[in-house]
Order: sequence, then structure tokens, then C-alpha cells
Amino acid sequence: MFKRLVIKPNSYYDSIVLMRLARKVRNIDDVVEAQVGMATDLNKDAVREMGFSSEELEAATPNDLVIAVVAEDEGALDSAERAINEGLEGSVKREETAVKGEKTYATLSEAAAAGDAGIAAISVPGEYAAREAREALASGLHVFLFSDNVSIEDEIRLKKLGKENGLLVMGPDCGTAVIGGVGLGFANKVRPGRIGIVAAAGTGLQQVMSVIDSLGEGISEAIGTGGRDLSEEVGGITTFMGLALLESDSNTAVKVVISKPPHPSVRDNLIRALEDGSKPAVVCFMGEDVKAQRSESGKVLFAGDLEETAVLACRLTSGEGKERLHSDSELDELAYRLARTIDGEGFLRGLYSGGTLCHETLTILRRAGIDAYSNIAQDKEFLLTNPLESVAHTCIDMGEDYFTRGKPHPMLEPGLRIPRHIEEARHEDVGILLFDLVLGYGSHPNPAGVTAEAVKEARRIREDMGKGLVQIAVIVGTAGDPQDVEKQAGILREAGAEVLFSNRAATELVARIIKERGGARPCLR
Amino acid sequence: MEMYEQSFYLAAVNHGREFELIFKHRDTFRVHSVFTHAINLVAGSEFLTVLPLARGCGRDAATVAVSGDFSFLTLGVSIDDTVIAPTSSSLRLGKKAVIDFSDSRRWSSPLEAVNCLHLIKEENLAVLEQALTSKHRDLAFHVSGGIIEEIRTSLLENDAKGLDSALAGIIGFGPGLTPSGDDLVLGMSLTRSVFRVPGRDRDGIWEACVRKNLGRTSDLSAFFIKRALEGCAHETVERALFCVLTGKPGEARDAVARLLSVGATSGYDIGLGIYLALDWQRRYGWCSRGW
Amino acid sequence: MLTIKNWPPEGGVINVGSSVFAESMQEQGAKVYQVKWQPPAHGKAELIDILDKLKDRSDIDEANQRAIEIFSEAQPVLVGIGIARDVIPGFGDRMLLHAGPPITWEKMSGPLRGAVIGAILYEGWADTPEKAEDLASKGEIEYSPCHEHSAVGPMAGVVSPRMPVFIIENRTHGNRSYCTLNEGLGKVLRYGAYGEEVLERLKWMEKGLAPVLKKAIEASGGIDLKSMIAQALHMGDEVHNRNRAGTSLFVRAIVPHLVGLDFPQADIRRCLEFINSNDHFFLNLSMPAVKAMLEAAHGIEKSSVVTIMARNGTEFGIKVSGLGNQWFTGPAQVVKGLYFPGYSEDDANPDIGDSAITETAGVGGFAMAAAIPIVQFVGGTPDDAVRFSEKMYSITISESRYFTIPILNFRGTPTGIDIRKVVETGILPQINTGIAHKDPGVGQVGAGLVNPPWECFEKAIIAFGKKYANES
Repeated sequence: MFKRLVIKPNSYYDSIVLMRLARKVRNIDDVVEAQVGMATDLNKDAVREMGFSSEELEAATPNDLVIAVVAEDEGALDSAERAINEGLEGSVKREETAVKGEKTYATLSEAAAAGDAGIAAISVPGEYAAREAREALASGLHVFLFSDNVSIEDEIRLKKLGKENGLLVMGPDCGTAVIGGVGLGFANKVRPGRIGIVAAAGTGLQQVMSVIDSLGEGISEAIGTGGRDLSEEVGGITTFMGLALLESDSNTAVKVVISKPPHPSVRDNLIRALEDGSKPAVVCFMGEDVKAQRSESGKVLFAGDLEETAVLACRLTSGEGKERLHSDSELDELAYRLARTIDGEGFLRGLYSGGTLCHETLTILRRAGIDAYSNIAQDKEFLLTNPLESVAHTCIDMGEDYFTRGKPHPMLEPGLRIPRHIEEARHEDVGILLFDLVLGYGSHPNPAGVTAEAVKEARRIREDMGKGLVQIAVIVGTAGDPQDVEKQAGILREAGAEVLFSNRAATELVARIIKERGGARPCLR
Repeated sequence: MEMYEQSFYLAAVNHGREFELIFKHRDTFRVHSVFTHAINLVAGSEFLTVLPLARGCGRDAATVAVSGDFSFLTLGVSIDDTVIAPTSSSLRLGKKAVIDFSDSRRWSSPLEAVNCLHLIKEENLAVLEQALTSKHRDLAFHVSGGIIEEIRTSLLENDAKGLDSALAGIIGFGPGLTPSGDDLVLGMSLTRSVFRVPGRDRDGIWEACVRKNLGRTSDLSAFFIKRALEGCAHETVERALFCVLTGKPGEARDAVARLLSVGATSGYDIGLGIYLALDWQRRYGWCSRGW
Repeated sequence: MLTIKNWPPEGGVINVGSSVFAESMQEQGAKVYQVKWQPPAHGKAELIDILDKLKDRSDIDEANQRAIEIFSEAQPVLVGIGIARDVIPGFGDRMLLHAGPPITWEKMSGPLRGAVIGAILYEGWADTPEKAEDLASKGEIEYSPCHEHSAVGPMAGVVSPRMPVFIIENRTHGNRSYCTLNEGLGKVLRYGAYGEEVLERLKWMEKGLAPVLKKAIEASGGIDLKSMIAQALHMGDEVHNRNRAGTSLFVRAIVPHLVGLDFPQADIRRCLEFINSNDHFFLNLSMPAVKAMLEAAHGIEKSSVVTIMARNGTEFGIKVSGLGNQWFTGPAQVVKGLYFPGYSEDDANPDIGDSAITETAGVGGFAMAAAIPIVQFVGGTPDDAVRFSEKMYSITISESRYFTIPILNFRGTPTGIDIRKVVETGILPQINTGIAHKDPGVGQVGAGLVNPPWECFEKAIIAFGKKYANES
């Protein structure tokens, strides 16, 4: 008989792992007996009974792992030891996440000198970002400036310098762009096509692109401008350069502009520039109430929400009747069914990772006569005094500075939204939870998996309370995105949430539910 | 928005009372062990555990918002990494993992709501018995009926020596981080504690003999048993016990099923301990007596 | 009419910031140049301000080019051996030179103190170690850095008046530099040993070795050290921590001239055996050779090139070409590396020696890729050796025309450390070095890698900014 004893000090392995391992080893040919376990007195006794005795065995403590094998020949012992080591190592294999062995450069100028890059993507902390951007422009590169917390003075200086040199400065605080078919920052995989977009709003752009893709059309280019580009001070430098590019680009047939309402002087220049161009355009100034559907010449269409922007652009491109992703009758039916599952006040709590989407929701609710509080409310009356405490109907932008100081953005780490999600579910007067998941490159690999845990927990809590809860998820994503939009939707549905693919539709669904249950209650002032 | 270089930033959703120890800087914790769905931290003989939200909380645990299939092994946390609190509401484990407690809620035990009971619900006990008999398990290591009988008779006869030797025969018995024997004792200890009133009921031979034999097993398992003696265990266990004691048969069935699915045999062994404790309580009142 | 260049931008994306974006762009098929970004100047705003004023300055760039030119054209030749007090400029009567920046007895570490005591005994200024220590600590001895006298010394680097020194002449510019002869390994003065055997050996070197070698060197008409270093780099040396090839080349060059000399065969043999038994003999030639090259390039107005990096076991000091004779110092660091059996980091003395002059010249640690077997002594993998060399290109201005590294496609060694680049990138010069035991006289306990302290460069850039920030 051949015996082998191995002690692994301070080693902790799952009991499932150990039992499977013991079984596997016993099944090896010519292994007579095997024992794998923590070195407790009793287990050591068992090992002793197998015929082992040694100082090492005596000295082993219950915090150590003891492995004892008895076999007919040495070869079997070796196989056993190999199997054990593989089994133990396999159970703690750490998954590699870093990009291995790639050449890196110490500075931007070094990288610029090393090759022919045409654009620099900058996402360093704000206080250093302007300097890097300046260096990039000096090296003849276009700039994608993801960083925020860059002063407006620096923004103006950079954009003027860029313009003088025929270079685009996209940002600061520019979350998304698609240039030359490559998505920069947070971007979805979208079919190439004929729609060109200039956007001052990251997730707004992502929503429009995703709907365009779902409707079978595609984009030629998506140029981000950063949130302040259309302010009076900046004057739309990047927007106008972007529009000039789309005008001269033969791939672009339709132009789209997405932004918060610009400063009046800039707005006039912008509309004029679109009128002067040769291509039709769709404009979405999120938050503005659309007065006229079209401009005087009819070349510029005004959309009231992001989904409509995409629908109009698609219609202009292919001339076909393109429809919204979720029809009115679909929403009516859903609203009818869901409204019945909740009782009490049934307040809405919206938790958003995309700021533009939150803004859109507030806008659409207001149009429907429903007032909602928010941490990003334009109207002081509905600005939450404490962003951590919701009041009546509330929609929160959880990507806003207050929540992300010193922490990752919820698009990177959706788990950070979960405690609030569960907290809201505990309130009796809450009836509807609304939340967005933005897929695409750069975002978390499995936002639905994480959020589903909250959906399940919320359900459990409400069941204990004996109350109902409607949970609605808006997924912004395309079929080509790395997260697999269908799979993500499936995970959420299984957890018990309703899933829609347009924020406009989800908001209208919520509005219908609220009205179904007794109309939009005017909030106490 | 700040981009975080290669780190994992996890939001804690719930945490037990004891987890707050880490922020009081009374002891320096280090990483004791890392599994797919759990990380244990230790300082001296005190343990704390980090679990995914789906697994439930406990007095010595904290749950974090990750998906059901997320593996803690990808966090780059190793045994002996120190645990530091860079702020009063966050922890850093190893180089890359940060847990944010700023929105975490204090977890409260379902058992706190249980008052001293006089009656054990027969139908719920039957539910538990049924679940135990119908679960298939690998009997490579199993607590022999002989030992259980020894424990029973020792308790009945108030025989400290006999109980001591019987417990010596099961604590530390079986593979795994929490051996089968330990889990059985845990289930029994937790159940017993529910029937005892601190202050009124002094420790009996059960408490004495269990404590005496804790050196026979790993530090981690000993810690869990100590907690059970004090009336605390993981949420899944507490909930199962709570539902069996106070719930409708349907609730009890669900909670017991959940318990029995934990670990390879852990859940079963704990469930068996609960069953035996309740069975002997209704027959002999062993929990409420001085044994 | 607005023209927008290069749209859509071809050729790839430079990613400055989180690698999350780099990965996702690569996934989409884009060519990504990833910048391993750190906040410039350790994030200090006042330093960034200075850097911005010194950026894109053609006057500074021109000054640096001049400095590099001079360095490159210098031609160090070994011309002879002389007695320290006779040939080294400014050598006082009761003076001892030492490695590194200026230091007082109180601040000296173990090995340096030991070497000082040994030197005092060797000179006969005291006859016991206790009396020597007395003399050393009571202000009777004047201590001066080797570098202030155009000299360099490895480890403790102590030079006393009667010691023989190599004389190196820069044939292009005329300046000279000096260095003692390497004593060998084990219990030696440069590690702070001062026992009988040390003093005996020093005496033999003065009386037996130096005269023989001096004659042979003179007979040769001068030995070209620059080309010898260049060859050694192609043979697996980096001329700081690995000198075996250089030593062999030296022996090859000197033997023909030793053979014909009018000295007893036994004496000549003893000299050869001495040199042969010491793989680091060449270090005491490579150091003054590059010292002569660098000193010629020192003193160029507006040049931000580093011309000295040196340590005395307590402090690390640098000098910058355009900043005159000012030392910029910080605490000498602990060397991280491999220890001989029985020793550990607890036994180590902080970084010591003038040998970092090799790195200053772009060889030594900067040429690690030429000496891959060195990883067996300092730790790491062959890939690491290549990586360390490559990293140094980020902080230097130029690539040498004469010293090249075969495995990098004969790329010239990273030459001309620019303090602006060091502060901008946060990358510190990489030095390969031996580790001395902190107690005097024990000797070498290991070898490893070390950097200068950040403070040296911070102080230097502030001084440089004060002097040159405003263009004149």
C-alpha cells in the first residue's frame, strides 16, 4: 500500500468543493481510500485510522486542510495528488480582467509621436483634463473630452483653439460619440446608415441611436458636444462645426440635433444654420414645449421626446411609415392591468442613471398634468430639499454629482442604485418604481442581473407587507450591444418587472397608470 | 464623472449590527477566506461575512448589490489582505475592492419578533420532518443515529459527562468549512436559545458542553456555533426557524426548502438540528429546562 | 470657410484615462494607444504651473541639444594613474573625498563611517580605530564629495590623499576625471571594512599594483574607454552591476603592455590575478569615463539635463547642467532586490555610491535590456529588464549614437535625463545597484533596483522654474 499525506495550512475551501474532490479522488483507479477535510480531532482520528501518523498531522489545527490518500501504487498517488491540486486551484481561479501586455505610453505627446492617431479620448479627473486637451490640440488631434468639472473658461478657450486649427472639441462632460464607426465613451453598437446626429446629451443620444437601430435604420456619425455647448458663453462652437461636417458628409441624408433648450440667440443661429443646409433635420430641445411641428420652410422638424426624434429621423430617411416602439393600445392595456395591482397612494419613484432620460420623464409627466419632484427639477418648487428623501411623485437622476461624489456613476456600477430602490419599496404610499438600464460599450456588463436582485427583494418586501408594486424597467440598448439586450430583458421580466425599450413609452405608461387610478393628484404646495 | 481604474465598487444594501464594529476601529480585520459567494473577515476570534444580496443577511453579515451569478473570486481579494476603512462608511478589501456602506440599512433579525412560546405547531414540525426525509443527501459523512441517541439520553439524564463525550464525537466531524456535526449543533443551539430568557434562564449543561468542545473545530465554525448559542444565525436559518415556529404551513414549507438548499449538507444538518431540538422540546421541554 | 482636418479621424485613438474605454474601443476594432496616465507632478498645482512655463521652449530645447552634443562628442581615454593628492584638483591635506552629496560625520551611515576610519588608519593619521573615530568626529577631517573634484567613487567612495587613482582624459574637450582602483569583493574599504587585511591590500595596491598598471597604461598610449563601454554593452554588460565583459576587454587591452614591462614576473602575475579575480574591476573605469563625458556637458545655461546622480548612504543628490553647482537632495532609498542567503531587507543600508553616474549617462540600469542575466541578481524576469530600459525613454531627450542595445534593434541608450520629463510623467530614473550591509565592514548582502527620491526632482524643477520660467 502507498500512502500520501498533504497538509495545507490556513486553507479554506467550500464544502461542496471538498466533497466533490474526495469523491473524484476515490474514483481514481487503484486509490483505496481518500480523506479530504479540515484537520479537526475527529477528522484526524479518521486519518490516523487509515494508517497515517506524523508530526505534521499532529500539529495540524482545525484551520488547516488535511488530505490523506491510500493507493495500490505510486502512480495512483500521483494522479490523486494532481487531481486534488487541480480541484483546489480550479476553485479559486481568479478571472483575469486587465488588458494584458499592451504597450502603454507615459504621456499623450509620446503616444502622438508614436503613431498616426487622429483623436484623443480623455477621461482623467477634471482638474487635469483641460491641460491634456490642450496638449492633444497642439498635437493636431481632435478631442473627445469625457471628463467633467472643467471650467467654462477652459471650455471656451479649448473650443476656440480647436476651431482655429480645424479640430473638434467634443465635451467636456461628453459621454457618448460615434466617430468613423467606433463608439467613444458609453456607446451602443448601432447599424451604419444615413442619419447624422449632433448631441449635447449622452444618454439622450444613446436612446435616440438605439431606437433608430431598432427601427431598422442607422447612423453616419454621432458627434457629442458636451452639455454646455449651446449656452450663450460657448455659443455652440462644436455644434456648428459638427453640423458643417454633416452637411458636407455624403453619407448623411438627415441631420438630428439633441440638446437642452439652447440660449435664445444660439437657438436662432442654430435653426438658421439648419434651414440653410441642404438636408432635412429633426431637432429635440428636451424640456421645451413644442409649439410648432415644423419650421417655416418645413425643413426642420421639432420632436417632443427622444423616441419621436428617432421616429421622425427614420421617416425622413427611408420615407416609410416608422412607428413608435410601443403602441398606444399596448400601453393602454398594460396600464389597465397594472393599475389594478396597486392600492393606496401609489406614488411614482423614478430612479435614473441617465440624466437626460430623467429630464425627459419629468417633461412628459408635466405635459400629462402630473407634477413630480426631482433633484434636477428646473422649477424650484419641485426641487427636492433632500435628494435622499422622495416626496409624492419623484424622479431622481442618480448620476448627478450629489450621488456620485467619490463613487462610480450608476451606469458603471448599477449596484449603487439598489439600496435606494429597496428603500423606496418599503414605503407604503409608493406604488410604481421606474428605472433605466443603459447598455452598450463602457457600461456595466450585467446591469439587469444586479437590478433583478433589487426587483426580487422589493417584491419580497411588498409581499410581506401585503401590498402590490409595479416595477418598470426601461432598457436603452441595441441587439449588437455586448450585454445582449434580449437576455437582459429576460432577466428583468423573470424577476417581475415590466420591460420597455423607450423612455417615452415607459413614462406614458406611468402617466396612464396614475390617471387610471384617479387622475394626477395636484401635489400639496 | 470619475472613471475608476480597475476597481470594484460594491454598494452594501443591508448589514447586521456587528458589522458596524469595523468602523469603530476596535479591531483590525483581515480577510479570512474568499469563496464564490462569500468573503469572511476575521479579527482575533470575531468573524464578519460579506454576501451577495440574494443570499440574505445576518447579525455578523453585510449584503452587497451584485447579480446572482457574480463571483467574489474576481475581486482580486486574497487571504490575509487587511481591511481598511478609508472613510467612515466604506471598506477597502485588498487593492481593488471597495464596499460602500453609506446607503446600507441595519438588518434586524426575524427572531427578535418571537416571544416566548409555549406551544409548538405540530403541522409545521411535520412540514420540517417531511422536508428532511425527502431530501437526498450524500451520506459519505453523516451524523450517526447512535450519537444522536447519546445526546438525547445525556440530556434527559442531565449527564454532563455523557453529553460532553457525545458532543466530542460530533463537533469537528465531517469535511467542509462547517462540518456536518457542527451544523447539527448549531441548529439545536439556535432553537434552544429561542426558548430561553436571558436573565431568567442560566446556562445549562448544553451551553457548557458545547462551549467546551468548540476547540475541536475551525475558528469560523466555532464562531457560528457561539452565535447560535446567543440566539443569532444567518437570515436563512433564522427565517426558517421563525416560520416553523410562528408561520403558516405554506410559509414554513418555503422557508425550510430554502434552508435545506444551502451548501452541500449544511442546510440539511442545521434543519435536522432544529427538528431534533423542537421534537425534544415538545417531548421533554429540554430547552426551557436547566439542562 | 471653416476647414476641419482629418475627418473622420483615421489612424487610431489615443486613450488618456481609464482602460475601460480603451478595451471597449479595441473590442470595436479601433487601434488604441493607451496612455498610462498619472497626475503630472504628483498632482501639485505649483509644479504643473512651472512645467507649463517650461514647455515648448526652444531656448531650453536648444540648450539641451547642446548638452547632448557635448556629451556625445566627449571621448574619455584612460591615460594613466596618479596619487590622489597630486592629481585631483582641490585636494586638501586632511581631506577625505566620499561618494554622494555633502555630508557630515553625524549623518554618515555604517559603511561610510567604516570607510572613513579605514582611510584614516591607512593614512596613518591615527593608529587605532577608536582614535580614528575620534579624529573623524571631532572636525579634524574635511569631508568633500568626489563629484566636487571631478572624481567618482563606488559605494562609500572614500578617497584619501595617498591613494592611487585612474586618470581619465576627455580628449575632445580636455577635462579630466578620477577614480580609485577597485579593491575586489568581500571585506573591502568601500563597504566600510577597516581590518588588517583591508589596509594591507590598500598598501599593496598603492605600492605593487598601481606602479605596474601605470607603466602599462602609459605604454599603451591611452585606452579608449568609450568604445570599450560600447563593446561591453554588446556583450551582456550594463557597466554598473555587470562588468565582466568590460573587465575582460580591459585585460585584453592591457596585457600586451604588461608583458614587456621591467618588473618581476611574479609582480606582474599578481597584478593580473588581482584584476582577473574581480568581475567589477571595470566599474572603476566606466564610472570616471562617463563622469568625464557628463562633466563636459555641465554648466550649460538653460539646460535641464541631469549631470550627476549620486548617493552617500544617507542622502541622494542630483545636479542639473543649467543650475550650476547646486545639489538637490532627498533621502536615499531602500533598495528592493534579492538578498544573499542569510540576509534580508532589515540588514540593508540605504542606497550608496557614485555609481549612479552610469545611469545618469544612460547606461547601467537604463541599459538593463543589454544585460538580461542581471535579473538573476536583482530580481524580475527578462521581460522586466527590457521594460525598465524602455520606460527610461520617456524621461530622456535623446538616444545615444555610440551606446546601443542589440535586443532593442540596436536602439541607442536613453540619454539626457530631463528634469521636466521626470516631473511631468512621475517616472523616476531606474538604478541597478549592489546592496551594502548597514554595519561597517560586512560587505555586499544583495543586489536590486532603486530610484532616486522624488524630492530631488521637485526641488530641481522649482529652482529651474525660478531661474528660467520667464523667457529672456
